[in-house]
Amino acid sequence: MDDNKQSPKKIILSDNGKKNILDNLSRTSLSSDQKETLIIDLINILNDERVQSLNKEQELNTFTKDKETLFSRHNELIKTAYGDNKSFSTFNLNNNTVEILAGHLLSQKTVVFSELASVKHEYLMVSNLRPDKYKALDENLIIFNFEMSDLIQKFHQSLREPLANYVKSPFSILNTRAWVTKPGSVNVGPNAQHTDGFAPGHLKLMIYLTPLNDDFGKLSIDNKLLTSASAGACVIFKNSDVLHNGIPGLKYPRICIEITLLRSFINCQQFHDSHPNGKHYFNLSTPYLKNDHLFS
Amino acid sequence: MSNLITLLNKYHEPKSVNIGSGPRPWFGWHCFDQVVTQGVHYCEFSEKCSLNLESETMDLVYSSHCFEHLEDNTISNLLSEAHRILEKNKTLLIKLPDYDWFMQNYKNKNQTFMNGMGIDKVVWSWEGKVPDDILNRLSFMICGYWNYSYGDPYKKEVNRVPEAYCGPAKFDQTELKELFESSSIRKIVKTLRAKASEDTQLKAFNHQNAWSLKEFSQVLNEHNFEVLNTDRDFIIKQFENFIPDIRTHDYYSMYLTAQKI
Repeated sequence: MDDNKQSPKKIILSDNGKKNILDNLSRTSLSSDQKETLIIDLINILNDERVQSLNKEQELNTFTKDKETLFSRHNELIKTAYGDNKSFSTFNLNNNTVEILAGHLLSQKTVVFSELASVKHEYLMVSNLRPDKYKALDENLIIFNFEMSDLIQKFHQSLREPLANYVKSPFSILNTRAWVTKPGSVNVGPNAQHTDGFAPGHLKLMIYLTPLNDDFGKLSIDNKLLTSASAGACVIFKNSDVLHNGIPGLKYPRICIEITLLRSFINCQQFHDSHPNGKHYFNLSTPYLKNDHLFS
Repeated sequence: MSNLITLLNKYHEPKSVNIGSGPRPWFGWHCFDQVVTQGVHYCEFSEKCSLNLESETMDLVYSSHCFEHLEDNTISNLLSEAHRILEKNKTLLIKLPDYDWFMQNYKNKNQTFMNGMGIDKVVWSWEGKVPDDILNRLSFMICGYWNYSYGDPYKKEVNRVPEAYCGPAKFDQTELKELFESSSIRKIVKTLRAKASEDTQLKAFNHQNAWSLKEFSQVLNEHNFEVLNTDRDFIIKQFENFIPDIRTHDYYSMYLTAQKI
């Protein structure tokens, strides 16, 4: 036995944590026993991730096939409790909220995609593209260096209600970013048809501050064209299951905000800076352990 | 939605200008006015002010019911600025009160044409000072002012006190009648303005300028614009999908389109 190898400290669910999860599970049709089993399975998954991280210490902030498997197991638990989601759903923000978000973007600086390649994030995986892809993105999009603030936290919180029916489970908010698509842009990046290739369990929420129409741009999702919508249109969808792409406007810029979510057993706000090129967490346990009054 | 409009205009450089827009930004427009509001360029209109835009970059300059509030030197400067920022052969569109229509209605002894002009909001302050009749209402439409006691109607700060006044120049009624019946609109407005300026308590003018269609066309010519069209219905139809307030006050407005030469 390797004396230098430490046994990982186990993740423990506090009484508050268990109560929180059970409260969230109360609206499911699971029996008490099933809920108990589910919670045990969840803790096992989180502890398996901890063991993995300790065994491959240098890979703490990398994403591996093993980690993807953990996300997959976690997502199966979520689906057992809360069911699966439809491909996508839509709703609208009111004009006041659109104005508030537009006001926030007015204060934000923009960044150059190609300069983001070397900028890491403490919690989020970051997309790694070829230089020619970055160049194309910079020519066609203007991306904001989106800053978190109390206002945005409040806005995030306000989204839980309209999203509840679609997401069904509690969820963690992982990343918030925003960009402008220039009119007549080529189909590059978010405007080329794609699925996101995220680990299972993630969802994306697109918020369009500009109307969805020919002039300002549209969204193609799951072989359907979303158009004829007013400013404030929102689309929540399974980003790694459903083919989607933005369609640039013919005349005017399209301005959108994108929020990445992870279905989880507790609600967790975005507690860190955004990354303009961020994907999802390296580690499934990140949102759980950040709620250290629930988990330790 | 001024934040959203400001954000959009930041990333979609407008090619149209609205001089005297009020506190309402428009998407696709550079709006200028003497108001501090998101999305509107603040500009104190004067004989020296500048519309801070590059020369020969705009497709359209529009102004609606603004010039009648300004004095001649300021208007001359703004027309020069409009000329500067417009690309060659591009369009100036001016909408003003149709003073020919007002004068014709007065001469026809129409008793109702001054209704609905917003004058009812201020006539309380005329009591004991000038009669509330068609002639004084018309005089106020051409040239009106308010005194220090009145406050500031544009800031909605109005003092309902006996000394407050927001009305036409205080003219002898016989002289006023003679002025309106024998003079050009330019002469009328200059005479009214001079008379109003005699009031030592004058704080600010509301309207202080006026022209017949012919007189204003001449002003445009003098500023290197060629008048293209003065047909109200035609102009409204031409621009109704582009200019949000093109129809506002249409029945008592004159419209002129002109081309930069």
